[in-house]
Amino acid sequence: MTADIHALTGAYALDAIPEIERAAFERHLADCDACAQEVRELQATAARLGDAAAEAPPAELKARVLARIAEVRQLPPIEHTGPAARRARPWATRLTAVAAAALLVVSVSLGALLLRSQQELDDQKTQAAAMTELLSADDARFVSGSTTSGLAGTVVVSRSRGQVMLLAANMPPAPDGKTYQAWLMQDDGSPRSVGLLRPDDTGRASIVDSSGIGTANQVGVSIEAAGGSDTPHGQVVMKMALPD
Amino acid sequence: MVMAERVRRIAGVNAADEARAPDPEALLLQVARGDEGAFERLYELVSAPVFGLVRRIVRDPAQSEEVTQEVLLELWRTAARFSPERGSAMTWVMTLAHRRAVDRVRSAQSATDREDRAYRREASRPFDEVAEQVGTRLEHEQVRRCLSSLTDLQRESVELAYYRGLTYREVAELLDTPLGTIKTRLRDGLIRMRDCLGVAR
Repeated sequence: MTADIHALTGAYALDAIPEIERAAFERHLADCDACAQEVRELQATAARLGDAAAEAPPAELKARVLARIAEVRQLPPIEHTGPAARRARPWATRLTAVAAAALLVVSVSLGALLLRSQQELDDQKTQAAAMTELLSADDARFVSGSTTSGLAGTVVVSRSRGQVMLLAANMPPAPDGKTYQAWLMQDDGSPRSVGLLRPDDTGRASIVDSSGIGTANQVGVSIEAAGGSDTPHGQVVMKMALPD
Repeated sequence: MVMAERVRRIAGVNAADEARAPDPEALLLQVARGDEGAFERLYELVSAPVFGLVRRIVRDPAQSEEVTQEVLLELWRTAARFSPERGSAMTWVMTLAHRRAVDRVRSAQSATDREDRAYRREASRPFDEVAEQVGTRLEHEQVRRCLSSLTDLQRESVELAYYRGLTYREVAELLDTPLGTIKTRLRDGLIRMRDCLGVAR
């Protein structure tokens, strides 16, 4: 619990938090018993302030309200949730960068799965399995960046498993007769092809490679002739340093 | 809470002295079971605090009545969702009332903000006028006494946030004070109020 977010208990109890911050603070509350307790006390205090402003409403309001309840269905109670269930919720708020990348992978994979043939579907499944393996590695590291043209890339690396994954977004279709190709650059400058990148309709592409990182310290994407090249010849569209 | 326990609690209340002032927790439990008579008694208990608070924030009498009606219908609709472990019935009711009143003024505000920024700045009342209105209209001596035990900045901040429905950012703007300071004053001010009023920990 940071001092800063804790200081919001007062503003929260007074409904003095803008909507966006409110949602974030409520996620924090779900995971901070001390804050939740303080909020309860401060809400009870605020209620006393409200009570002090009491003023009888016009008499005719009562008849109106009583007439209206005949038309309003009552909600059933929420089933009792024990402490175990309540504790289980905050996991979603603890998404690590790697887990966030996993979500991106799922969306990329699902998008791809919807569109492709059986053969490609099998390839996708293999790739999804490799991604899962990579993302669950203890030493999975992650780096993101974007180019001035708006192309966004994320790289996840596990050196212990020799796996690297590249995710790209906002990738325009490759020019006719061309393809995107991803490369690992070794520290002596020699490239190794990771494979071809095929952006889907939404401009997303992903590739995972399990054949070892070696001494690679950079990943790059270039535009090559259809079918790919042995070494990069074409225009380099993205280059990122690998995380350590 | 399991149903058997609810029923026992209600039975216990019914067996109690009829002359005793109805307590809102017990009434809410009965309302949750569809008891319209209990809802009428709950109305007697909460309509003035709800209307008074809503009116303080919304100001327009017709709109204040609308919001009050919304709040009361919401109590009817969601009575079964009230859980005594999380706080008293009165706190639940007033929290809902404040929230609804604030929603009303903020949505009206965001609709007019774009064309109306300059006007809104001018329309913002100086805080001492607000403080005076609150001071003269407070019926509860204890709350008034406790409010006066706060520092000026704490009291002004709490009153502007609670009775005017401003966000802490708007309070900071109005009092020309840094955001972090206002956050802290709101919390410290409420904590001092809590201790002064003897709100149960």
